[in-house]
Amino acid sequence: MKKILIADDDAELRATLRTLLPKEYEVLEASNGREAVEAAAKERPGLILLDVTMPLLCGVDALAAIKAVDPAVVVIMLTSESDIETAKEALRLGAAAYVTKPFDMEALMSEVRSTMKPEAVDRNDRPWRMKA
Amino acid sequence: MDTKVKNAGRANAPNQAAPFSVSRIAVTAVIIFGTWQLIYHWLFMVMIPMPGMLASHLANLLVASVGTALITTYCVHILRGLNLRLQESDWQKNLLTQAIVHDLRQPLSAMLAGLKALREEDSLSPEERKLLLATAQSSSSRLLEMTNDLLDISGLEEGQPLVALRETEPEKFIEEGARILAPLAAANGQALKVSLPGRLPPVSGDEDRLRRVVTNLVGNALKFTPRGGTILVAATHDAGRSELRVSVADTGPGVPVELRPRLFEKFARIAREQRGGRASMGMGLYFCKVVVEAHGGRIWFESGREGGATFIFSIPAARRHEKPGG
Repeated sequence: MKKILIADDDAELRATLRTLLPKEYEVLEASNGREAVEAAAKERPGLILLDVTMPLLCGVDALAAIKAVDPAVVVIMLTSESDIETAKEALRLGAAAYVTKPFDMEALMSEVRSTMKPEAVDRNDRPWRMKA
Repeated sequence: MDTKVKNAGRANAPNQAAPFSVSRIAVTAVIIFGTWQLIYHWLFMVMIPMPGMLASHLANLLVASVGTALITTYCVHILRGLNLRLQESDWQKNLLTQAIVHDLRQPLSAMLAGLKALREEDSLSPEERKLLLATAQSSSSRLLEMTNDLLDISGLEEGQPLVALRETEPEKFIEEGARILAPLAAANGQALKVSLPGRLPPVSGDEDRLRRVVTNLVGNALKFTPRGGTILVAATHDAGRSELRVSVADTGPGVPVELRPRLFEKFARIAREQRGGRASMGMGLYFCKVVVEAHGGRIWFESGREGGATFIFSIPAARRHEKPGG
């Protein structure tokens, strides 16, 4: 079963995403950046929904560490900030998309589905884009 | 963290403003005037005993011009300093607004996503619907608490008195303040423990606000404690000082030395960003400080060398009325 990792310090958001994500995926959770890096290295998820604003290790640092371990993993950044510098840095580090909270759940789910499709062989070969 | 990203918000910050005070201007004016007088008397009493009226006027004019130039230069320096201070204040206000907006958006994400799914998704099971409703309710409660914190900070800063002072049992607000976050601690895989002695002295205070102080401190500890860590809430009675002490200890990374002086500041978010990650707006600890001080108490923290931080606040125990004639 393919795995999706939700890394966000907001427990309510994790619970909501876990409930709404397609049931065919195994959903993992991390509540801070360090846990996200550990879980990514151990569980090797296909997709990571990674919050930018997290304690212990911020999402951008976590992204760099995760990409160093698993360059092929698709990472979608979630953030409450519309800081263009952080967005650019995240995309430079290999994030597939940068989604601003509160986000459109349908658009996020569509992104999740297209990312996790079996034919999405080269998951990093995706246009970088920002979504609000 | 990458320096570029970490300092992105600081990029537009104004430079450090020059110090300015009325006393400093007065002292400088006296020095300039005194120097002028010394030069004037030195010229006319020593160097030019009887130079005639023209030379006297020219010398006087020269000294006056130099003095005026000095005063003008100093005034420009002061105005530049004031301008920098205003820019700094404006920048901090913008930072605060960004921080508040960021934190208010956070619970909205879960609420909106959950409520939309409840309205549009027919495939959800009854259990899933119940869970989404519970999370939406929990998020809206958090939003309300954050709004109340902001309003309280504003009111207490303006010197408004605490409105609901009454004698209260500390056990109640300590246990309630911690219990609210027990589900979050469980979800994070952290152990949240409350240790209270048999009997604590009653305090005269605002029970709801004191509960929110405990909740804020526990919430802060949860944020910085990794999975498997422990948060211990404890209270003691310091009989010598006649005060109640409440502590919240965590097993997180501790507080770096360079950030300690700023931790209870209103704009501590920047500092917390540098604590190895980014956290919420940082108003929580400031709220705690404002509320505790409004109760006549104090708040501080202790950070261990091997990690772990303990936040402690103390408030005076309620004064018991002595019986007359006793």
